[in-house]
Amino acid sequence: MQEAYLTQWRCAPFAMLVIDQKLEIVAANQALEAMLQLEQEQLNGLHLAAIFDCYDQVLPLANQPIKNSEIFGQFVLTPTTELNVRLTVSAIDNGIITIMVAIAQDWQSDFKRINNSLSRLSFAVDAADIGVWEYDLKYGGSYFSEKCRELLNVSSQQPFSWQDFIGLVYDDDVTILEAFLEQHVKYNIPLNLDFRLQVGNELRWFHMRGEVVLLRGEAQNIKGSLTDCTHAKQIVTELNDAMESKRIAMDAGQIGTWKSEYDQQGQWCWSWDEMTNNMFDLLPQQTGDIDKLFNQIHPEDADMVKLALEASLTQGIPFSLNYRLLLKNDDVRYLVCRGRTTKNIGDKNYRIDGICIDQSTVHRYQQELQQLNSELEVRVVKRTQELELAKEQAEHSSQIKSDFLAMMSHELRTPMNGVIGSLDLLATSKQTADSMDLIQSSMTAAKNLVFILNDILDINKIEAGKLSIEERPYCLSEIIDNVIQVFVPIAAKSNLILKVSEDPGIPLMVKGDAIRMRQILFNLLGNALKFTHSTAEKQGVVLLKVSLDNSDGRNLRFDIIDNGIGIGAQTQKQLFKPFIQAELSTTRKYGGTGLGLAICDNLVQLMGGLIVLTSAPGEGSTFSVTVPFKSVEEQHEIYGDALDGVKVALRCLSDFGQASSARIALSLLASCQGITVTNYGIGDKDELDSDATFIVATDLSRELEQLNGLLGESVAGDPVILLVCEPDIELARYHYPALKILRMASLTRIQTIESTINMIKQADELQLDDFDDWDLDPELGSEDCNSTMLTGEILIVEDNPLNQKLILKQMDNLGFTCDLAHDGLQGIEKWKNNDYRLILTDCHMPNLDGYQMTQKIREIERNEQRSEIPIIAVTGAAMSGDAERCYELGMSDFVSKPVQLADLRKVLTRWY
Amino acid sequence: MEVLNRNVMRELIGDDNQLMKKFELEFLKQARESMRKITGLYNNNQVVLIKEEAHFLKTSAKAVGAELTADILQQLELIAQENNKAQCKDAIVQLNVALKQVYGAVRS
Repeated sequence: MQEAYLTQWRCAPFAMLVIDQKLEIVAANQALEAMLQLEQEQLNGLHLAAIFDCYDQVLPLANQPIKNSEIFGQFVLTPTTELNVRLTVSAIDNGIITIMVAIAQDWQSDFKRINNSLSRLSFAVDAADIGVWEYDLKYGGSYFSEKCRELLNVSSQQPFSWQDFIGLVYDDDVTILEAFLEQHVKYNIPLNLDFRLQVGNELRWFHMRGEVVLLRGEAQNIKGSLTDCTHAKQIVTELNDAMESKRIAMDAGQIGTWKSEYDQQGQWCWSWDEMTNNMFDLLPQQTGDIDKLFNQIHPEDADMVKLALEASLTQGIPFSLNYRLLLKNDDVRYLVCRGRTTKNIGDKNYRIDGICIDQSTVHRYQQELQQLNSELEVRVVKRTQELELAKEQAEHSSQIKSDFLAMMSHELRTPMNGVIGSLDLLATSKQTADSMDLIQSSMTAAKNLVFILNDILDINKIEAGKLSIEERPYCLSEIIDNVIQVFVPIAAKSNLILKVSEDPGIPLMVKGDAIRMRQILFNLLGNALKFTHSTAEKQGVVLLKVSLDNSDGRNLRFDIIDNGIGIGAQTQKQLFKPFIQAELSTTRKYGGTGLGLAICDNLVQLMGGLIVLTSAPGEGSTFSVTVPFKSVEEQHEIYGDALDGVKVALRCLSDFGQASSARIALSLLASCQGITVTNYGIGDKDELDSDATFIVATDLSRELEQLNGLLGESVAGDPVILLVCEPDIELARYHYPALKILRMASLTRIQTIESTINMIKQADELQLDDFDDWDLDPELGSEDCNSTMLTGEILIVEDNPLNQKLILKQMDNLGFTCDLAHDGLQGIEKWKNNDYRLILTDCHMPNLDGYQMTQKIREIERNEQRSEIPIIAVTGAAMSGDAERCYELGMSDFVSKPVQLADLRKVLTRWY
Repeated sequence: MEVLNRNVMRELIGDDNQLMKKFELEFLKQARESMRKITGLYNNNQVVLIKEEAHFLKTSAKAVGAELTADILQQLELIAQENNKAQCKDAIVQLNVALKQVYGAVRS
């Protein structure tokens, strides 16, 4: 600032000051100094706010001051001296603000102050979402503030009258509003009500307040506020709802509530509801009186209750107690009380809320129940003792019965075996036809009796838990074959078809109990055949199907399926119990002990398996047995290399035989490595390149010509197995007696394999004349040798009867009588017991040969210091080295076979 | 080598034709039994065991002068020891024929 200008500015008649951007005073002129009665030095550096109190809450200069803008406020010179001033921004230059200061008139200051207050009020009212309205009672005019219009969803430009406002009021509330307005004007009753208004599409709650304005005692208009209280209304409604629900629930549950709050005087103020009051048998005016309440508590429980309550109030421990009340009429009530304390913001327990329930009825029931339980327990103990005694007696009786049955069965079985053996022998002797029939009947009856005895022994063992299941490798197919072969003739006799189907995927060797498995199959198959019949309308069929269980391949499944008489649902439940048969009539008609299925069921269970029966009367039965099995890791080579490299041909005489043909192929291929199986077509006339041939005939009477042709041409000379249906068996045997004939339906895996092996074997066998037609009489008798006594001083040791007779004859011719031994062992015995002078022995004999006998005799002679007996070898070998061997082993001499008389004489002369 | 050399027997027991015949028939009985055993052993694949039976019959054959038979039995003994089934079969068939010849000679 230039000096001249500064001087002029300093001397200006108007008070002025200069401030910088920080609102700190940079300069002040003399007029201002005079106005404020302060020196320049006192003002410089002061913040404007330090001496100037702006009527506005914020000093407008702080943010981009505008030239000519005015600011009203007070210069606070001392705590008691104030000066109302108006500051006018006169220049802004590079952040330096020049301000003119003038003493403000009072009205200016008041106006500004009021204006500011109104502005603040208006702002606050808007911020509080309060609408303002006015209604002229005399002329009907009205005013609605912007906020009011906003709340009512009416734009500021839209004309909006009092009638328009009344039009928005919900119909039900119009009368109330008008009544309130009228009452307010007439009787000055406060206008303070809630009603509903239609705002847009919504019906909302509003709270209206108002005050009538009087002029000279006459009501001029009403001014008031309008606020949207929909949210508050909703809260209140929901709260009321919750309170009502709680009240109803508490009433329904006969639950009383109580509470206590810690008041400002440091006292716990108690209150409770009517239900609690009634529970404690208190008068209405005693509500909240904790001492009266405690008086009602049973004296024996009062201290406990006080302690627990104290702990809750001081330590916040949840209050949970069952205690008694002792009422004035000496009635005792049983209460359950629960309470929980709440902490205030200072972490201090300031209230507790709780409930109490009258459990007297429940307590009474509990007492009665306990009494009943006690009585019941006594009765149960007594009854249990009786039952245990009865059980022990029953078990003892059962044990005696089982022991007796087992003993009797065992004792009966032994003589029965004798009976069967005797009958067997009797059957082999020559008998008349009638006698043979009787023997066969006796045999059947005896065997049946043994089966029954065996069953009784088994069921006893099972019931006693003494039956165990073995786990050893066995050939399952052999067991199946064994069972099937037993039943084939029985089925044939009853005109039944017995079918078997074996899954070729089942290993030949499995681990398990072969005997028990056979027993199970034997029983089930026997039953199926027993209860199945062929009639004119229906062919009786029994099928044994053996497969791997599909679920995991670790179970064997045996289905025994028949189309017999079937079993009703009621009987099925009893069927696996011992001594139970389907029906009494069944027992009478079919016989049996009813033990078979019980044994089967128990055996299957012991194996870890299951029997399932599916049946209906007249529709046959299916017994499905599932048992786990273990495959033998190293499958035994059951058939070795018997079929290695063997070529088998299959030939069906019609398409119907293809299934059987495929079954044969699968059985052979799955069981024997190195075998080749070829299925030749029906009309294939090529010569078969095979070692054995299966021919499948499904209708033999019609296929005879075709079969004859085949046997005469393609397979001439080859080993053949003919497979036929059950009805064609006799026809096949009649026409082809030399052929191996098998039943198609009951062909087992083992039968297939073994038949093939036997065929191959037979082809390789020697079939020589057995010389039965030789006429070989008269017999060479011992009398020809004149040595009937067979005693003498020479022992002949020889095993060959012809040679024995020959040498005896020779010795006889030479005039010697001899004794005879048939081998070295007998030779030693005879030498020990007789005093021979010479032994002639064959060298090659069974049991003990001549060499070994000589060694033994020499050893005994040495040990017993006996003189050596001459032993002459009679050897058939007579090869070089034989003489040396004889001498080495202690023999005295030798002659070659056949012994010439001259040689014999010579050696006898030398040694006898 | 003869089917039946009667001189052999003559040298053993002297010139008693009736007794000789009895020994020959005794041999044939023995041979019939041995043939059954040998065939059975062959069919049961027990070729090695044939050796013992062949040896047994061989001494009898030699004694009665059934030279051809004894020779075949000697061969059979060796073949059986080697477990040669095919050759065994041939030898057994030859033996069968030889025995038939002996029977024929005895009965003639």
